[in-house]
Amino acid sequence: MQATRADTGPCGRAVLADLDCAASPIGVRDAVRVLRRRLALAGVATGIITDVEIAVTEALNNIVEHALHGADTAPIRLRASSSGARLRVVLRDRGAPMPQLAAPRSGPAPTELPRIELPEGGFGRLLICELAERVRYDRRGQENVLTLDFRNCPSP
Amino acid sequence: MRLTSRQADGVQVVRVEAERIDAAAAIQFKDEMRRCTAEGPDRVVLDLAEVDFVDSSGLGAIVAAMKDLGADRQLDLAALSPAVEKVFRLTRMDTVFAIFGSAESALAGDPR
Repeated sequence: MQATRADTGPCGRAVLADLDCAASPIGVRDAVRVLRRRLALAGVATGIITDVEIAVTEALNNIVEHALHGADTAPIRLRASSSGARLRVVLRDRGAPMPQLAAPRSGPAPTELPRIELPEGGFGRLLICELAERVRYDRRGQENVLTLDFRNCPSP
Repeated sequence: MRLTSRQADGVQVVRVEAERIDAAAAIQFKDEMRRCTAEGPDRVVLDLAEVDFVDSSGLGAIVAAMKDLGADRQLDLAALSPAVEKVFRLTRMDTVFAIFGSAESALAGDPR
C-alpha cells in the first residue's frame, strides 16, 4: 500500500500554501479556492478541508469588512502549514486593529424566535470558533495576525 | 447568480444555478430571490443541489429570503451538500427550515 500523505520531515512544519488574498469578496473566494487545492494535494482529509474552507472564508471576509473597511488596500497574507496532527492558517493584514475574537455569547435557540427576529448576521465568529481548535489574534506593530489551528486528523 | 424557477404540484421550486452563495454573491442572491418569489405559491422549495458552499453572508441571505416571503408562505431547503449542511447545523439554523434530500423528495413530502 503506497503512502499518500505528504512527508512533513523530521522537524515538523510543512508549508502548504503561502499566498496573497485580494481584499475583496472575490479575492477571498479566489484565495480559498487555491488553499483548498493545496490542502487536497497535501492529502488533507475532505472533512478537514471543508472545516478550514468555512472558517478561513469567514475570517477573511471579517478582515475585508472590518479591518480594511472595504477600501482597496494591500492584500491579506495567507500562510497554511501542517505539523503532523495540526494544520495552521495564519492571516496577516495591515488594517485597523480588530477587537478580540472572543467566542460569541450563545443566544436563544433559533426555534425559540419568531421568524421576524431570526438573525441574518453574526454567524461568522460562531463558525470560526466552532471549527478551529484554537483562535489567536495578535497585533504586531501595524499588522493584525490571526492564527487558526485545526486538528488535522479526522475523528474516528 | 442565476435562479431558475418552476412550479410542480402547487409548489414553487427555485433552483440555484451557482456553486457558491457567499459574500461575493449574497446580495445578488437576495435580489434574485425577491424577484422570482414576489408572487407565487405559499410553499417555495430552494433547490441547492448545485451549491457547494454557503458562508455566513449566504446563510443570512437565505434567512432574509424566507422573511421576504411573508408570514403566510414558507421556504423549504433541498439537496444540501456536506459543507452547506455543516454551516446550517453549526449555527442551528437547520432547525428553522424543513430540509429535504432533493427537490423531488421535497415535493413528495419525504425528508429523505
